[in-house]
Amino acid sequence: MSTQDATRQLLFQMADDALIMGHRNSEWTGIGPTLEEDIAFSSMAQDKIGHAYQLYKILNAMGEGEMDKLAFNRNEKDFRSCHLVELPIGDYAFSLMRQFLFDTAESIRYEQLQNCSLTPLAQLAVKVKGELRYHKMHADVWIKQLANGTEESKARLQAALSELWPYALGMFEEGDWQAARKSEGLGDSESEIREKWLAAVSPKLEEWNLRVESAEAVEGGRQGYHSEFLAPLLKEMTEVFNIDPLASW
Amino acid sequence: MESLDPRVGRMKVDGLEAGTVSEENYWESFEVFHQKKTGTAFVHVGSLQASDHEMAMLLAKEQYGRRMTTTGLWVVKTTNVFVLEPDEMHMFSTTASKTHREAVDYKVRDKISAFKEKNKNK
Amino acid sequence: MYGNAFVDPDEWKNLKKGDMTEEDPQKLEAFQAKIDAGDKIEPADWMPKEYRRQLIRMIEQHANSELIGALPEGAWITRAPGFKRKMALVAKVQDEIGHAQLLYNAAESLGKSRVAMLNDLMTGKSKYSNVFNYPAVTWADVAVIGFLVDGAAIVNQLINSKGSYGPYCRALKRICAEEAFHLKQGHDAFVSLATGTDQQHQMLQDALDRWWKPLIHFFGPSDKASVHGEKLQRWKVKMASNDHMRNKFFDQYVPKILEVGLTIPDAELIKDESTGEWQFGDPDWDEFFRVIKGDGPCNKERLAVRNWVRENHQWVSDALLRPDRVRMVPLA
Repeated sequence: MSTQDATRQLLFQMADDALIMGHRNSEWTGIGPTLEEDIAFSSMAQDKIGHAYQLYKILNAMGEGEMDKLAFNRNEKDFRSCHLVELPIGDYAFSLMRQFLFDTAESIRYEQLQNCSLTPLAQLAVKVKGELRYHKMHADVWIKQLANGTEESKARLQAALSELWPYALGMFEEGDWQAARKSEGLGDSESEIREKWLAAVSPKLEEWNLRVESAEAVEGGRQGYHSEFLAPLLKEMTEVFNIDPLASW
Repeated sequence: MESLDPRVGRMKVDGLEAGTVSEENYWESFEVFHQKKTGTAFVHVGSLQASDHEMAMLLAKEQYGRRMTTTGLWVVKTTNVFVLEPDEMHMFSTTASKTHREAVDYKVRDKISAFKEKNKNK
Repeated sequence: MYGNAFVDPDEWKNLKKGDMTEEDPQKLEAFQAKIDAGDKIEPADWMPKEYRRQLIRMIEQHANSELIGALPEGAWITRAPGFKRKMALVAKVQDEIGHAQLLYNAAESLGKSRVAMLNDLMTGKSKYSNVFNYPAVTWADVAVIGFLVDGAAIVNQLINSKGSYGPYCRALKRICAEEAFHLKQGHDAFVSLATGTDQQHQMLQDALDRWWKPLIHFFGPSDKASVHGEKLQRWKVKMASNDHMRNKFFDQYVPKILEVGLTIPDAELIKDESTGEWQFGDPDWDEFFRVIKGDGPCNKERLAVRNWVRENHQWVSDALLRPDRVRMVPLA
């Protein structure tokens, strides 16, 4: 696979993940557990959608089309999001745990992209540092406190983790772009990121008394094979846009 | 419940009774102080409810810092703010009239002029 | 003393409607003089029971309105068309939760706890702005709410921000500043539809037709006959009459609606240039009262959602409430 395709693959993967994750998290706006936390979680949702926009902007500069078109006018099979971000929001423990697993990976990914060969992506990686730092802090504080809470909060966290783990592993799905990504200076391979990610999450999960069982990664998203949840999500997301994709909304 | 809101359609609200939570269900109250530029004063910007200081700081950043530059942020439990009691406020009633603390009434220029006048011909 | 401990957290439970007995005439006179001088009343100040009761009610209803107001627009967050609209709508609804937070804090300074206020909301005991008992049927409804309902709220808020109660004024100051962003965003979405395709224009016209009466209802019935109005205005709790505010709304927004080619669904709407007053067709005040009493299209749904929030998240509170926490009235 050529460099251009490896570059596009990485950008679409990251942009689609951010868009779908941000979209899911925005579903909590107005119905969160406390007023203050509702506000905090909503900021993070906006951050994610903002990251997606910036990533699509880089793709736009490469001739892929307008940002709105990339997000709102592509077919489901053209998306490169992992199944993890597509899952429904579940209860608050589920969303928090997903946030923790996803954001830890994102932080690692962006950190090493600060030195990548694609200048706009390297610049974006520097820009988002502060936001990702807050997202990680948010997950750490919330999960730690819930993990030290009641039997119920512990059980909910464990149930969420057990369900999410195979999907989380799916974030690091590899494909035939791997060699090109590496050789053209587009950062670490998915396996390398996964190893760093495991090294980051494992001690925390242990500290929080949460267990994972070895599981097989749920994959397919990076090739365009998605969970049953993406199509209905996209249908909802594009409902108004599709009334007239050419109109100015 | 059938709703025009897809989120509500996904909630299981049928059969849900209107209810209340116990009055004991309150969270700890914190006061938030914010600095918007280095070199300027920290300002009390409001309150929030949280489980503890760590959570309070996390939440303060968004409720009190998301729309403005933030160069500093403090959170203090409301129970730790010692407040002047209402009936002690009369202590401040004479503050404005203590002129010995103010830069008024010192007729320095007059004295200097008189001195210069006196020594003009020396 | 620590915190706002001089505020009695149980006094509000004993406040009876219209109770003017037992107020010390000297204290009342000093209180009125303070207000007449333009001073603000702070939580530590003596205040008549009726003042406290009315303010709690007013601020609480305002807070409830922000919280419930987040729902009709929140319904369209997942469907907002395009990045600009999507992010702006999440930010706007987030602000509404933020305003609710600021307002509950202000009301708490008078003694009623946030828990008690949310309880009264969930059981239907306390009210919120009637306009939010209607559904946002299409994306164009979001534009109408974002421009005209927000516009109406701003007319209200700007006037009331000059009121007598310090904490409420401070909350309103920040709210008004943030509303300026909402209004710009709302106007932009509104104009995009009005000046867009024929289909978009029609969608907006249909939405306007749906929301016109609720907008007139927003300011409440004419208060010429109101008994309480005079006292509330003297105490600078209510800063202007319902009619005055509705009139201001017409002044500011009718031209903006007409300039983009929309038709206002009220053939009798006209301004009497000699008096400066707008005349308008009967907006069916029976409907207004029916909806307030619970018979609107979305009353049940709004309360169901708030109860869902309570039930769904109770485990979070249970896990995070520290046994050593102390009940405190916030320093608003």
